[in-house]
Amino acid sequence: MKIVLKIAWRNIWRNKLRSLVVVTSIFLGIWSGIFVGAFGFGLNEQRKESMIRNHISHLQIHNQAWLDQKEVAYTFSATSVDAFLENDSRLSAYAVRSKATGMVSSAHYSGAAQITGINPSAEAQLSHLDQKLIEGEYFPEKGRNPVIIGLALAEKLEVRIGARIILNFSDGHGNIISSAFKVKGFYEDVSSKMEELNLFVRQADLQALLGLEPEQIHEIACLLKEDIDIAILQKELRAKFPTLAVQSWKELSPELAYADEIMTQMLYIIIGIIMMALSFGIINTMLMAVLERRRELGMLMCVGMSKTKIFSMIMVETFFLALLGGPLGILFAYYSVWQGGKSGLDLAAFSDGLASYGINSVIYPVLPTSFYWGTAALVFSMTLIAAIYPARRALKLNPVETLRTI
Amino acid sequence: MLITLAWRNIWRNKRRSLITMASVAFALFFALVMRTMQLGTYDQAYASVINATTGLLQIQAPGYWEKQSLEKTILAPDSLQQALATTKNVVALLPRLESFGLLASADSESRPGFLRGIDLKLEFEHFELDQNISAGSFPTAQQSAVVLAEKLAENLKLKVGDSLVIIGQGYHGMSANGKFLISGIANLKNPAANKSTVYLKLADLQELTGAYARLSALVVIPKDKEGLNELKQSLQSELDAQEFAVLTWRDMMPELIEAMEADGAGGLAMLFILYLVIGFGVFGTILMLTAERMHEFGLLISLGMSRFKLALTTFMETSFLALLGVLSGSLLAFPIAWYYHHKPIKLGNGMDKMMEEYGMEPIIPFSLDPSIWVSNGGAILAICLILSLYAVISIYRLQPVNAMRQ
Repeated sequence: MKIVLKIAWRNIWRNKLRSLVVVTSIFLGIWSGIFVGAFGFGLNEQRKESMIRNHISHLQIHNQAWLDQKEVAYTFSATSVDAFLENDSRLSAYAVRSKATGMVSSAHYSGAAQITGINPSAEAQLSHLDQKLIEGEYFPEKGRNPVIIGLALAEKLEVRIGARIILNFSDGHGNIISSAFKVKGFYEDVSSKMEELNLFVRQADLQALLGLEPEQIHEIACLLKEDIDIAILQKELRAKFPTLAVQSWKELSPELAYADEIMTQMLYIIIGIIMMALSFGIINTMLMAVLERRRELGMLMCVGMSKTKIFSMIMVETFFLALLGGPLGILFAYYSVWQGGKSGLDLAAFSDGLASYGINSVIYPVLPTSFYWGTAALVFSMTLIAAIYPARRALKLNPVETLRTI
Repeated sequence: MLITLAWRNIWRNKRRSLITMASVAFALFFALVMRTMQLGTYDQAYASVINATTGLLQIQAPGYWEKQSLEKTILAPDSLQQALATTKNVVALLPRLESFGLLASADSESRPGFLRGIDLKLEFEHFELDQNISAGSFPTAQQSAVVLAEKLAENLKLKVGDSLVIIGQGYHGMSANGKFLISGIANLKNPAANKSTVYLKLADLQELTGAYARLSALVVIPKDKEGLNELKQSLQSELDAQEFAVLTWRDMMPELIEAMEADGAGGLAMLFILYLVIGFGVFGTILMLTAERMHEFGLLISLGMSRFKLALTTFMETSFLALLGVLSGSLLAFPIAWYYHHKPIKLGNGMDKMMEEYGMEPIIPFSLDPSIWVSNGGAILAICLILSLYAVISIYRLQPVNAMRQ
């Protein structure tokens, strides 16, 4: 076997340029394939992270009926859930909310509004709303009916800090409430659509207008410290409060969870296609290596080299080609993904389009380690398949005939 | 004679030629399937959004698009409309008034909705709006009634024959409240529009909002879709820039375009890698082909064949090889593109929700745009031709005596 390895290795360097072309193509193909994959994966992760941190959180609790129709009447009592969550060390933050859908208007504009009544300090911990404020004050103690609106909405309404806007929404008893709120701050979000739609008021103010008691709420959102606790806590909550709907981010936003799955599949498809394209080159090169050496191979057979050895020699030769290019490509990819992940890649040219996906313009490529092993396995198995044809071709050579030809 | 020679040369090493051709065909096949799918999806997305929202070209008040407020509406007397309608390349002008209101019904909570005041006859003619009706009908000329989008009607628990209450804000901030009979329900293809649209007759909405004779936009129907920018220029030159602005759909929806471009850039990166890998494979073949014929080349040159003719023959040989690959790749991809163009893939599993967020139908039709074939086939062909220069250069550099000694 040692001899077979040695011969195979030396054979590769008999036609240096040709071997280098194959090795380089494998190297470049794998490297760029993984990098493109990591880029897409990073994009996806960022989008998911941003949506979870800013909008949906890890878990949300609602009245069961809320899932069908988001009506004011579908509240639940905060007290018992609050008591359950309060001292749970797995949570990094949670917040209680009231909600109403309606219309916002100023003298210049009116538009759809998703009004969320929040507890300012809890919301600051959960979604960091206070840090997104770019102008004004975050729910000051004094003053009636404060509201925080998105920058994009402020531009449409043509209002400044301190201006009054009118919110209209139904109270759940067939009446339309119309109430004035004072704009106390503008917040900025990655997506201008979100900025336009979402308004934040104090929960107590909204509950009073809706005619609800303080413990009657619409939503509790939780953010956990560790991802693995999400399913566990969800199960506990479901067991403890069977009448409530407890949903994880995967159920709240199936497209986010689904995008994850699609991305992993896409990565393997990308590498698979690249490997297929590469294997044409590998097969061709090895086939030529066999055919141009038919005389020599015939000679080896005549002097008694076993078919197994001939076969394994060609296989090993093919593997050497792949084993030079593949791992090198994976290593380079690992390094460049790591580097890119540290510094980020700026895609300012597409920033508006990316913002509508809900992400910033700087992308940090990442890739789970398992994917590198997966790629290595894919390279290995595709090479194996590509090697069989030339090796079989070598076996089919007729020693006597080959010696006769020039 | 040279052509015959080149053609026969290809078949001297059948196996290698076939593998090379297959690699080119494979690359082009993948490139085509991927691109026709991507570009087809974009076309579909654009068409779906354009049809459901803006049309291709609009005349608005300057600043209307940013604000979408009734305060930024235009007065477009018939005389002006007639003058514009005679402009070259304009088929029709559709007057529209758009506003926003809270919709209420007896059995459900109020919801925000988009009020679209339209000229029924013109919208039927140019956007086939009447095709969308799923129950009841559009109001007759004498009737003052509304048509609700299907999903919206479902949410409001309203049927044909019920009444809809609209509470909104009219022109100059006056209140715009009214009660309308629902004469029909329309199934709008665009999911976002299907959740929010109320169609009113233009005159009805003008009366409701007090914006008498005012329009949010004149939708321009051009004779052909190409040359939108020229049409925009020529219309703008006829209009007073203080009062009117002409916008194409590209001006109105930059986020959509950028999101598509960002996505398309990922596809291009993948194509680039594929071409790179295949390029290396083809280069390998040309390398072998040149190396194994050095002896023959030397012989032919010493026998008096001009280097030019020899180079030309070899160049033709590789060109044929690439061309055959390109042709078979195109032929393979065509049935797939054709099939999915007529029977688009339907998305499910959460991907549909993602598309709906953008206001698109969750289907993937493939494009049959010939330019995709031309550009990708051309790109591969160009790569192969550039690579075959290696053979040409070797022939010019060749020392006949040394070559024959090998």
